[in-house]
Amino acid sequence: MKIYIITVLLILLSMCSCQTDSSPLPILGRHDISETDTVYHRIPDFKFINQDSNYVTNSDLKDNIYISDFFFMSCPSICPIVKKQMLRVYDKYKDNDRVKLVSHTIDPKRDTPEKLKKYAQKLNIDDSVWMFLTGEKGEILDIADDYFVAAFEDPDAPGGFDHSGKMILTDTKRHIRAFAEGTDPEDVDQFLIDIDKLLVEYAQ
Amino acid sequence: MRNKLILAFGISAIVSMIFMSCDYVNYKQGQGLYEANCVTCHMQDGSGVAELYPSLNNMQSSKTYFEAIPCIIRNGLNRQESVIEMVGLQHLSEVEINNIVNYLVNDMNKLKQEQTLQQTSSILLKCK
Repeated sequence: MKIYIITVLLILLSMCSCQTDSSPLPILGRHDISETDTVYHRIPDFKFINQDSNYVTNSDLKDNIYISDFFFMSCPSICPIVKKQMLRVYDKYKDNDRVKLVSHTIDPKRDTPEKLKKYAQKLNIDDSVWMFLTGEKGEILDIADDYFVAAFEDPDAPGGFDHSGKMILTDTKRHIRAFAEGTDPEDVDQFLIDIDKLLVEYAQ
Repeated sequence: MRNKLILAFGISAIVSMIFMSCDYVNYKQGQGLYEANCVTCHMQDGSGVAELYPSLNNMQSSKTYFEAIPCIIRNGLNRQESVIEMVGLQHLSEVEINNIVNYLVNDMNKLKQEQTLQQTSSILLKCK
């Protein structure tokens, strides 16, 4: 009798250990819960200019999940390492039509579309997969807020701007689903798993 | 018994020293200066970021590096085709620059060639 119980327990235990975390990624941000519905935080309408001097709006990304970050070209501190990690994401998903990358400059005065184009060329990336966006400074800093990224002008900070190196994963419904600290390669390891997990939702 | 123990300790100490020497850094100060001044763009392992921030860890010969790097460290690099300007590190002394160069060549790239301080100094005098 005892042996049966032990066997059953062992089987149950092995089933537990095999089970990977298959729960979907959460929708992040503050939600407004009304009487009838839950309104999730979502990225508002935007209109920016890419490295080819074309306008990019939400509708250009309506079928894509995308990974975004904030940077500026003359940034002397965290930007190179974050770009290196963005490049990892790019290399993994560049052939997947569902995935795009969106880098926002927070220094539109200096980082013109022409300069962003050269920057993209030096990264050897496909312009249709990885967009470098500029626009009106206020709008850029506002959308950083919507991505929960701290970005602001600070004359005391190296390069004149203070910002975080977060990478943000947004789904086709403009909901934020995951974050990574772009300065931490191990955090980005997990982020790549999160991206895979989100892609499963679109696999059917 | 005791002798055997001592022998065992001795052998393991020697073996671990041999293993540790594989990672031994000859230019400790150069490494420290590299980490303080260069890693944010060129990365800890010198791999850089694509063509934006050039890699430093795939040197084929030391000659060009010995001749070019001292001036680049001191005066920076802003070529017409480069998108991101490297700022010169004016605060570094000749000794410090020499140590960084030797760290790059000997430790990062494992090329066993040393540049003397005199050589670095004379190169720095001729920087454009």
